[in-house]
Amino acid sequence: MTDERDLDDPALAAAWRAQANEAPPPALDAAILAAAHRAVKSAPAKIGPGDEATRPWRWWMPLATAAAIGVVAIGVIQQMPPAQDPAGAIVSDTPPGAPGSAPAKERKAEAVPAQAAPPGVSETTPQAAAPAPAKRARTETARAQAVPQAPPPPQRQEPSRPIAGFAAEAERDALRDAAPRAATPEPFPARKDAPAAQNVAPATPPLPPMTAPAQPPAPATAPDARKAQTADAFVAPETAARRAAVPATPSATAKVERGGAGQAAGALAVPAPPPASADATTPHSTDEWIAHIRRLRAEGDETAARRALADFRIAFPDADARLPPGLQAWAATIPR
Amino acid sequence: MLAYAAGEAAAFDALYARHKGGVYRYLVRHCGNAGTADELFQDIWMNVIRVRATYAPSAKFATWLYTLAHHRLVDHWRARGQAVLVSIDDDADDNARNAVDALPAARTDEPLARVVNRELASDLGAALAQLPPPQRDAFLLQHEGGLSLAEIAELQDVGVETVKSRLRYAIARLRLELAAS
Repeated sequence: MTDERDLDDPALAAAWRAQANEAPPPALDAAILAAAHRAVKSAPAKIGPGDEATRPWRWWMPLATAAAIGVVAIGVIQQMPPAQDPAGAIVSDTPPGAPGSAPAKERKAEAVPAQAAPPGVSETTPQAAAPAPAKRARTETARAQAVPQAPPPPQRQEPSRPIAGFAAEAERDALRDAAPRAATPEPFPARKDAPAAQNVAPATPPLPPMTAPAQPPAPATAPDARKAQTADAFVAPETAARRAAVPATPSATAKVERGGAGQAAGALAVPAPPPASADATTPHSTDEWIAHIRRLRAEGDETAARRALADFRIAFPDADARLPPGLQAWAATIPR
Repeated sequence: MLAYAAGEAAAFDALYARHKGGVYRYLVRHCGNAGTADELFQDIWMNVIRVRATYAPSAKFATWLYTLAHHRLVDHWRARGQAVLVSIDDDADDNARNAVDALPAARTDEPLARVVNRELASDLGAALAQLPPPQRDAFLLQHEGGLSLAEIAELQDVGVETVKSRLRYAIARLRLELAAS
């Protein structure tokens, strides 16, 4: 066991301290200290609760979200079809000469703006020369009063329609009402264009529901009809008005009612004679086809019966299966 | 060191001023070459700067610093093929042990009177260079680093008694050199 005193020699320690004078060169000191300071300065600072980088962004995030939602909402609203104004539709559709509508006509004449009012109307209504604010107030009053006096027909109230079918419907209405409207003066000249007709509630009763085509729809298939209807849906208002001014022929009207919009467009542009295959007695259902073929065979017109069978096959791909057994044997002898 | 790890650069200045001399002399006495000592010295302090963020105060800073210096020195010796740290059983034979044990205990008056001059101090440095590395290392760690026996034992990965023996042999040999001069 070594004595602890042997390990602690003060004389030796003093001698050692006396000779222990070596030190690192000053350049080395400076280099090490510079490195130490550089390391501390370049080190990333501690992140405190108030030093978050996202803090300045937080305050406007709700504003940005609200603005984005607003932009989207405005875009959606603009894409929606315009809502029909019931008051406007009622006022524009009321015939001026209708019984019991004289007071309404006077109120309508008051409601006409000065710059859009026709000369005749402005002459008959001295109130039109009043200042604009008073006129606007009177217009609002007239509209509010006109609503209960001329209620729209309940069957014509269609609050909203798809955009594509909107123009087609308007065009159909314009065709239907072309003749009587030509004689009826428009109360509002500014609404003589075709888009105004969309808001017009015609007094004519609604058309019956569309029926199946009277002839085999060989030339106009479903996609073609849809395409033609879409094309008509985007017809310019001027074109729609011009079409409305064309005298509607019975064939054109019938085609429109049958839904052959593509053919109707051509027929409206240039009134053409009905096609040779068009026949008012063309059967629609299977039973009618069978009765028609039987009648032709009974009359001895084999050629007509064969042609009717061919048309029946075109109309119905499974025409032979729909035939009764007696006619099936006869149809089997006739090639497709 | 914790203050420096927290970003206070002035704390490093204080640490460096306090320990730079001891570490430098520890390296110079071991290497015997100022150039090599400068290189090792810079490496050690750069290591201190680099590992500041992971520093854990498990012991005194001096202990941790001299541990870094010791390991760097061992690496240096290994790189040069001079790994000569040996056990206490290998660096002293029985005769030397007996001779050291026969030395008288230190007396404060006599050695102090003899080491006051500068020449004797330089002789002491030369005598230290003649010591085996483990003894020299233990002596330098005690006198330059101020480490306790237990800290030196932990650093050298030996027992405390082994450290005592190394120190005793080192001091005995230095006394002999001082007596001779």
